[in-house]
Amino acid sequence: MTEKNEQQKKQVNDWLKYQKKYAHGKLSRAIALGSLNGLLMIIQTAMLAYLIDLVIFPSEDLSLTNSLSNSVTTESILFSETTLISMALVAVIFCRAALGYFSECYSRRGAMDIKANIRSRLLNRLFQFGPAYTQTKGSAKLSHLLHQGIDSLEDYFAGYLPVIAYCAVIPLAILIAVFPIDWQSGLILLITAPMVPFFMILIGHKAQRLNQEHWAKLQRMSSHFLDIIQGLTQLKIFNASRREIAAVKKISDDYGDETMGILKIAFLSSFVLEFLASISIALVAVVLGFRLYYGDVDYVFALWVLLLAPEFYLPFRQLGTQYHAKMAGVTAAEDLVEVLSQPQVHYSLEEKFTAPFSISLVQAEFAYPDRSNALTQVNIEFSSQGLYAVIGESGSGKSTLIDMVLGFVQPDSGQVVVNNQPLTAANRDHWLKHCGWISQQAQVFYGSLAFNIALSDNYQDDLVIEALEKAGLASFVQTLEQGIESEIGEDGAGLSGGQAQRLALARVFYHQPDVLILDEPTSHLDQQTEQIITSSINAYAENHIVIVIAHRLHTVIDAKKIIVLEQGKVIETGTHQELLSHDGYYAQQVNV
Amino acid sequence: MKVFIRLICLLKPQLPLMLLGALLSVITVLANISLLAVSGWFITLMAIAGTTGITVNYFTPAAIIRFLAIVRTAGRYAERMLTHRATFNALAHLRHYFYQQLEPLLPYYRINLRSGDLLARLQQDIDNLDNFYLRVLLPIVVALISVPIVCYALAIFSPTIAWVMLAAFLIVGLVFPVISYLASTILSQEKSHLESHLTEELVNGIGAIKTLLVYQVSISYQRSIANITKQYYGVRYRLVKINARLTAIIFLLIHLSALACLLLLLPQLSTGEVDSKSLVAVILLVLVSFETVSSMPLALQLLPQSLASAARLFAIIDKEIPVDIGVERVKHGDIHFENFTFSYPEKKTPSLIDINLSIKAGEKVAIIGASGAGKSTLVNLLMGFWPTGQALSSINASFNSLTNPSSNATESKNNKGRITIADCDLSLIEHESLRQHIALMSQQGHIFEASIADNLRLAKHDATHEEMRKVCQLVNIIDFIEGLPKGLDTWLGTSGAGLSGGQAQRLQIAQLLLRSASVLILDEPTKGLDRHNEEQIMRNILAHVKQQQQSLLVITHKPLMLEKMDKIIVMQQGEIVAQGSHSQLVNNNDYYQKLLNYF
Repeated sequence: MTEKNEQQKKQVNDWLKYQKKYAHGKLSRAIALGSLNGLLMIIQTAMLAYLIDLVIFPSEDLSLTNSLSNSVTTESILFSETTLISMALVAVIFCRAALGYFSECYSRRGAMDIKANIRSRLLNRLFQFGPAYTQTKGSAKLSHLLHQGIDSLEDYFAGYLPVIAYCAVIPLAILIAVFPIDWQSGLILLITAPMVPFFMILIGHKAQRLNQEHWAKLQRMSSHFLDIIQGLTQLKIFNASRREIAAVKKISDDYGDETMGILKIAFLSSFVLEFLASISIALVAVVLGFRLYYGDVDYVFALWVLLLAPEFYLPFRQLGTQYHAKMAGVTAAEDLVEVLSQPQVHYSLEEKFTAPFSISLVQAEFAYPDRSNALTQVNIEFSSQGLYAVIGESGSGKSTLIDMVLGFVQPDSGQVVVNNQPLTAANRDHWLKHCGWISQQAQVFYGSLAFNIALSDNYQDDLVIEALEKAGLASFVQTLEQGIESEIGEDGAGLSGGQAQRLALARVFYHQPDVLILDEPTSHLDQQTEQIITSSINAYAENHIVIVIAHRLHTVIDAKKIIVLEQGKVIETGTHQELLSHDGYYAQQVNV
Repeated sequence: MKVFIRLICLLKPQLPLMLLGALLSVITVLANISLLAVSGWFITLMAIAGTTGITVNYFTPAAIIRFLAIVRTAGRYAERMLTHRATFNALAHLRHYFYQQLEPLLPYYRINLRSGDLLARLQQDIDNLDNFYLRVLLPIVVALISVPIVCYALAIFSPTIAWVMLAAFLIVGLVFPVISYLASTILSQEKSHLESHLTEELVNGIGAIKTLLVYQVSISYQRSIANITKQYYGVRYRLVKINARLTAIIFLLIHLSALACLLLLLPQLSTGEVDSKSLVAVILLVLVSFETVSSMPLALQLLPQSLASAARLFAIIDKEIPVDIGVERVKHGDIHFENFTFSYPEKKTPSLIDINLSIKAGEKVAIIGASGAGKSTLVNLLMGFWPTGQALSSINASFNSLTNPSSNATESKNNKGRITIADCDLSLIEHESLRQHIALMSQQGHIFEASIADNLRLAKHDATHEEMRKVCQLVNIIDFIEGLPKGLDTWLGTSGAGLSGGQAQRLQIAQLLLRSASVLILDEPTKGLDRHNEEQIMRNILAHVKQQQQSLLVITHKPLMLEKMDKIIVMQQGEIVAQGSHSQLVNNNDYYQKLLNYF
C-alpha cells in the first residue's frame, strides 16, 4: 500500500517536473534572473555597510596624515568616496529592480503556458475517452479539474520551483561570503540551515495528507452546488429548498474548518521557521557584538553580516509559504495524472469508412462496473438502409446497445464490425462522421436556434429553415420575434419538451448522417407531432440506415427489422408480421 | 463605494474578531521593525564601546532584542490564525446568504440564469471575496495605524526624515497603488468575466459530450476552449505585468529612500545632533518600515476584483423577487381556474387563454393535448412559481403608485382571471403550505448526486426504508434496486447517471407517491416507459390515490386508463377545447377519438 503510494507520488512529481518543458525555457530564464538578483543583494548590502562605516568612523589614518596639511582635502576625499559608493549603490538597486521585474514576468508567463498546454491535452484526452469515461467521473468534477484544478498549478510553477532554486543558490553564496570574514557567524548559519528543511518535511508530511482530503472536499462541494442549483426547482416542489440552505451552510462551515486545518499546519511550519531564523539572527548579533567589543572584527564586516543574516533565511521562509502551493499543486496533479496516464488511443488515419454501410455486432458482451451484464451474447446485423427498431423493457440494455454501435462503449468481449472493419476507440471518430444521434432528452445549447441546429456559427439560413420544416418546427419559429436567431436557454428552457426534441431532429436533417440513431425520439410527443416525426423518419429511412429505440410499438410496424431485447439478450428478431406470428414477447405486447 | 459599504455590512458579525486580528497585526509589524533597528543600534554601540574602551550596559538591549523576537514570531502566528478564522466564518456566511437570496428567484428567472454561470458566481466570486478582509481591509487598517507611529518615532531623531518618510509611505502605499488600480480596473473585470465564461463552457461542453462527438464539433469546441484560455491568460498576464512593474518601482523607492535618509543625516551627524548609533538605527528602521505599507499595492489591486465579484453577486441578489403575498394556510377543497389568462414574462403570446376549469377534491383528472398546448404551464402555476390573481394586482397597485407602470403594464394586460383553492385566491396561500397540499412531478425533474434513499427522502425527509420500498414496488423499480449490491444506498452519479431514463422517471414517480399531499400532479409520468410498465404503474398510481383519497391530475398524451378518469380536459394552443368524462368525449370529440386508436 505505502509502496504503491510512494510510487504514485514519484510519478506525480516526475510528471510535474516534466511539464516544465512546455514553458519553453521561460521558467529557467526566470530562475536565472532571480538568482542573479540574489547575488547582487550580497553586493548591495556590502556597499551599504561600507557606506555606513565610512560615515560613522571616518578613517583615522586619513585624518591623521591629512589633518596637518589640509582638512578640506580630507573632507573632499571622504565626500567624493561617499558619492562614488552612493552612485554605485543606486546602480545596483536599479539593476535589482529590473531583474526582479523580468524574473516575475517570465515565471508567470511560463506557468501560464504550461497550464494552457495541460488544459488542451486534458480536454483532448477526455474527448478521446468519450462519454463512458466522463459519465463515471462526473462532469462537474471534471470541469472543476479542468479549470480550478489546473489553475492551482500556477503557484507551483511560478512560485515553488523558482524558490527551490533560490534556496540552493542564495544561502550558499551568503555562506561563501560570510565564512572568510567571520567563521563563527558562518557556523551558526550553517548549523541552523539544515534544520529548516528538516522541520518542513516533518510538518509537510501531515499537511500533505490533510491537503488531499481538502481537495476531495473542494471537488465534492463544487458538484454539490451545481447539483443544488440545477435541481432547485425540484427542491422547491418538495419544500426542501429551505432545508438545503442549512446544508449549504454546513458545507461551507466544514470547508472553512477543513481549510483552517491545513492552514494551521502551514502557519505552524512558518512559525517554526521564523523562530529558528529569529534565534539565529539574535545569536549572530550577540556574537558579533562581543567580538566588536573585544575588537576582533571590523565594524563594516559585522554590519554586513548582520544585514545578510535575515537574507540568509529569506528563501527558506519563502519556501515555507510556497510549500503550501506545492502541496496544492501535487494534489491537483494527482487527479490530472490519473486522467492523462490512461492508455492513449492511437488514431488511425487510414481506416476510413465509406457508404454503403453494414454494421454487425458479433457476440458482443458488456457489463458496467459492479453491475450484472448489460448485454450478453448479442448478434445483430444492420446491413442496408431501412428502419431498424430496438424494443424491450427499460433496463434491458437498449441504450447500451446504441452506445456500442456509436463506439462510445467498447464490448468487453466480441466486437462491433462496420464494413468488415472492427469498430474500436481508434476509428470511432471516423465512424461518427457518418452518424447522427438523438437522445431521450434532447441537448439544447445556449445560443441561437440556428446555432443549435448547425452546431456551428457558419450556417446556411435556407438549410436551417428546411431542416426546421422537416422537423415540424417551422411554424413555431415563425411566431418568434427573431426567428432562427432567437436565443434559447440551457436545458431547453423556453422550449417545451416536444419542441426541444424536434429541434434535435432538425439538427439531424441539417447534417444528413448516413446512419441515424434515435433513442426513443417520440416519447415526449403528442400524437400529431409524433405522426409528423415518424413519417419524416420513415422517409429518411428509405435512403439511410435508421436505428430507433421505441416504446410505442405502432411507430415500428413498418420497420425492416424489429429486435427485442430482454435483460441484455436478444430474444426475438423479425418484421412486425413475423413477430406477430411467432407469438412471443412482441405479440403479447401488441395485444395488451 | 455602495458595494464596498454593503460588503462591510455583510461582514458585521465577524467585526470583533477582525479588529482583534488587525490589532495583533499592527503589534507584529512594529515588533519586527523595532527588532532590526535595535539590533543595528546595539552592534554600533558595541563597536564604539570596543574602540573607545568604555563599559556599557549590554544586558538591556540584548533583552529587548530577545523580547521583540518572541513578540514578532508569536504575534505573527496568532494574527494569522485569528484573521483566517474570521475570513472563513465570513465566507460561509456569505455563501449561505447568497443561496438564501437565490432560492426565491428560481424558477421564475430560469431562462436568464444559467447554472454554469451561477456555479461560477457561487464559488469563485465568493472565494474571491476571501481576499477582501485578509488582503484588502487588513493592510489598510494596519497602514493607517502603524504609519503615524513609525513617523512619530522617526521625528524624535529628525523631523526632516519623518516628513520624507511620510511622503515615501504615501507614494508607496497610496499613489502608486491608485495608479495601478486605475490601470487594472477594466482588466480585472475582464478577467472575472472570462473566468466564469470558461467554467460555463466547460460545464456545458462536458455535459453534452455525446452530442459534440457525434456531430464532429469536439475539435471546434476544444479550439474555443483553447481560445478562451488564451484570452483569459492574456488578461491575467497583463495584470501580472502591472503588478510586477509596481513591485519593481516600490523596491527602488524603498532602497533609494534609505540611501537618501543616510545622506540627509550626514550634516546632522557632523554637527553632533544625531549620534552614530541612532543613525544606524534610523537607516535600518527606514529599510524595514516599509513593511507597514508593503501590502497596500496588492490591497488596492485586489480591491477592484473583490468589488467586481461582489457586484456580480449583488446583481443576482438584487433581482426583483417574484411577488409573494401568501399568508393563508391552504384549505382542503376544489381548485378553480376562472377566466384565467397567463403569459410568461419573456413571451409575447399568452400560454394560457381564458381557462375555466374546476378540479374537485378527490377527483381524477387527465389533461391531454399536443406539446406546447399549455398543459405544463397549467400545472406549474398551481405550484405558485409565477404570480397570479391578487399578487398581480398588488404589483400593479404598487407600480402605479410609483408612477412607473410601463414595465408591468404588458403583464397585467395579458394576465387575467384567478386560480382558487377552496375559494381562496392561490396567490394568497403561503407557498410552503401550498406545496404541502399539492405535489408535482415535473418534466424537468432532477435526480441528485446522492444515494437513492437520499433522493427519496427529499420528498419525505423522515421516510422509513419500509415506506421507500413500498413506493418503489408501486413503480416497479424495487427489483432493480434490490438487485444492486448496496440497494437503496446506491450512490447515483451526476444527473442520475447509473439509472436509465425510464428508471429515473420511475424514481421520480416514487418520490411523488411518498408525498402526503392532497393533490398529486404527474406531468407525463410514463414518458420513456414501455407499455408493460406503463400500465402497471398507472394502475398502481390510481389505486394509491384512491386509498390515500388524493386528487390526481395527470398530463399525458397517451390513451392510457383514460376511461378510469373522472374528467378529461383536452387542450389546444393554450385553450381548453373540450372537457368531460370518457364516455362524453369518446363519441363527439375528434381529437380524443384519434388518441384512443393509438398504441
